[in-house]
Amino acid sequence: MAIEPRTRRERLTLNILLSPTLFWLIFFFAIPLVIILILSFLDNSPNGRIVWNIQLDNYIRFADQLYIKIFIRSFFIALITTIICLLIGYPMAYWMANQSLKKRNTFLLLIMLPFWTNFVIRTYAWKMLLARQGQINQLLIALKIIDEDNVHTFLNTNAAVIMGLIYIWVVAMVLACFASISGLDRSLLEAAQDLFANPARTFLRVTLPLTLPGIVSGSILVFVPSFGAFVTPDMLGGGKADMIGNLISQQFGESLDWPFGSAISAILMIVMLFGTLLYFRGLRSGEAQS
Amino acid sequence: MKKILIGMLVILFVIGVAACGNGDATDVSGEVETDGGGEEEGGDGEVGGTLYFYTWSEYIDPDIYAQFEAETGITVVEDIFGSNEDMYAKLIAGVTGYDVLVPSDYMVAMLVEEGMIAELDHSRLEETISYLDPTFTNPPFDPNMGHCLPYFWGTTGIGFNWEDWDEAPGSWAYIFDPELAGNFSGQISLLDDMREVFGAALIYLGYSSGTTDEAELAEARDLVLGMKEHLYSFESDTYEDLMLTGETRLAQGWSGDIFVAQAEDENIDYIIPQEGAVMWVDNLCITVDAAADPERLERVYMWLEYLNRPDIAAQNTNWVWYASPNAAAESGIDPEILGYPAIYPDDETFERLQYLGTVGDALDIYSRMWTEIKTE
Repeated sequence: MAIEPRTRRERLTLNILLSPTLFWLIFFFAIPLVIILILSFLDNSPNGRIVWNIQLDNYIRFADQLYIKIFIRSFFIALITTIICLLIGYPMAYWMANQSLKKRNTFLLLIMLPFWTNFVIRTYAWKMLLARQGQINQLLIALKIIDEDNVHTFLNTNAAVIMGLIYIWVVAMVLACFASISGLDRSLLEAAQDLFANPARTFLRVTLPLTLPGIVSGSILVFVPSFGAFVTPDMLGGGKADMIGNLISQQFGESLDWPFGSAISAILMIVMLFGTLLYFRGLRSGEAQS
Repeated sequence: MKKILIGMLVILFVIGVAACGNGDATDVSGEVETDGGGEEEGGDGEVGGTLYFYTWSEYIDPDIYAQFEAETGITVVEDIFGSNEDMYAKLIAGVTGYDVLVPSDYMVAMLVEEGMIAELDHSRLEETISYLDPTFTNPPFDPNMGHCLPYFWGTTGIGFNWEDWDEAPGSWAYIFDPELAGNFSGQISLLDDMREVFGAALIYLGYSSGTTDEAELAEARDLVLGMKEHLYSFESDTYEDLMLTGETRLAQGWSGDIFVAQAEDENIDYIIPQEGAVMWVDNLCITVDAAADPERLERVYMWLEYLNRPDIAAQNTNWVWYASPNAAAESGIDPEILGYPAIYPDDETFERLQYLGTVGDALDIYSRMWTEIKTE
């Protein structure tokens, strides 16, 4: 099925069309990635200079209860974020996909509207809302649910971090699910009903399996950036609930330990890569069964 | 085919995002442009050209740039860093083109060790050096000012609000003692700065702020972990705003920042605790690549001289509200600043101040324990 250029001319056109992408991938993706991988095997001087001494210390150092704990915590924060995003995003996408074409486009626009503002600014807005003197506490005081001396501390907690991540990434989930659900062949649903499947059964046996690719790509789109997040935990966690991304950024800053930072990045990449591959594989065998 | 393609794209995205995890933290952008100095030469034997000044934000009266340009024809281009380590990371990654840097004490020592800043030619600065307060002319991090001139100095103490106190909270115990900290539970901020937090905790425990002893550091770590439940956040950039809005009532902070908040709310004040505090000196240092080029070096020395001219140093101090090591400038400094013990502490308080100092290999211990503090 691959597109095979037949003439020289076609080949030339193809090369020209691909070159910006290739250039981009090589210079801003492949080369930096190789640099990180090489760095992760090197040593550094106390003053942060890279020392060409190939070794595995940086990886061995990571096998430390402290770092593993951060890794696992980040994993669960990302997992919770993904699950909640799915619970919010899928029904939303399902509902949107069942609207008229005109309405659909309006809703899509509305969903993407917040993207026009930088996410750091949007996160700052949450910082204000969640603050002790923030609007949420003021609302609770106005509604006499709490009194003024007893305001809630929403900000700088794990919950605030998860909420911030959900807020930012739920859009990716909605869009991925929407693409999948709107491409669903309606006649299959009718067929299921003709065969006396009730709505719940239709959903579970027809809609869900057919829209699984959307759920999968949506979940990956949410999980991966949440796992490596460091701006959100920094801003909404107040530096008290650091995640693996903060650990990496600390190595490149204060700790002046680029090799260790690179090793953590590499470990993160490898784990996510294999995780994703396994996920796809599990899914394909699941598909084959059904 | 399509499925494989989508799969590949997702995988690329995965690797991409994972790889970007550290992107923003270390913004190692390319080389700074340096021009040979051929830019429009002013008349009257002016030198002209451009000087690249790498410094902290809002750390100079911006008028001084224009005044300097009017007098010498040299345009100063300012670039900003947020922490010593950010600046250092950029330089060690090979970024060149800066002429003058403004590192703090311990960072000067590191830059000297790594051969990234040039020696100072005292013969070219005789008059300038004569203006300086002798307290600052032989700092431990740079003996006899072998490399840098002191620019400003200050302390890291406690910011508080007079609404809460009859007597100023003159002890680190108000932050580090869990019971006392409990009075302001959830309303205390510490700097998001490894060395400063350890420095303050170590001083409270009676140790040296730059210790390399693992047991002492462990004690300091446990101290911070013990009060963490009362902590609002680790914050280095906006803690003075948090005090202004009333989110926090106590903050570990740099003197000048707290005074910025005080200008808006006079109830906010700053104190150097009785146990002592970290003291820092920011310095004017010449990069080795500027020193290698006589034309650039000429501009650099003119800039160092200009910043230390008593009237300019005074003007600058009146703007930034940090203490100037320039003794000759004092007659021009606002008496309110000079008479303020939190900016110009008396001798007895001065005795209790400590530099952070470099920690060498112990940086790994600091790092690991800092991670414990930040994540536990």
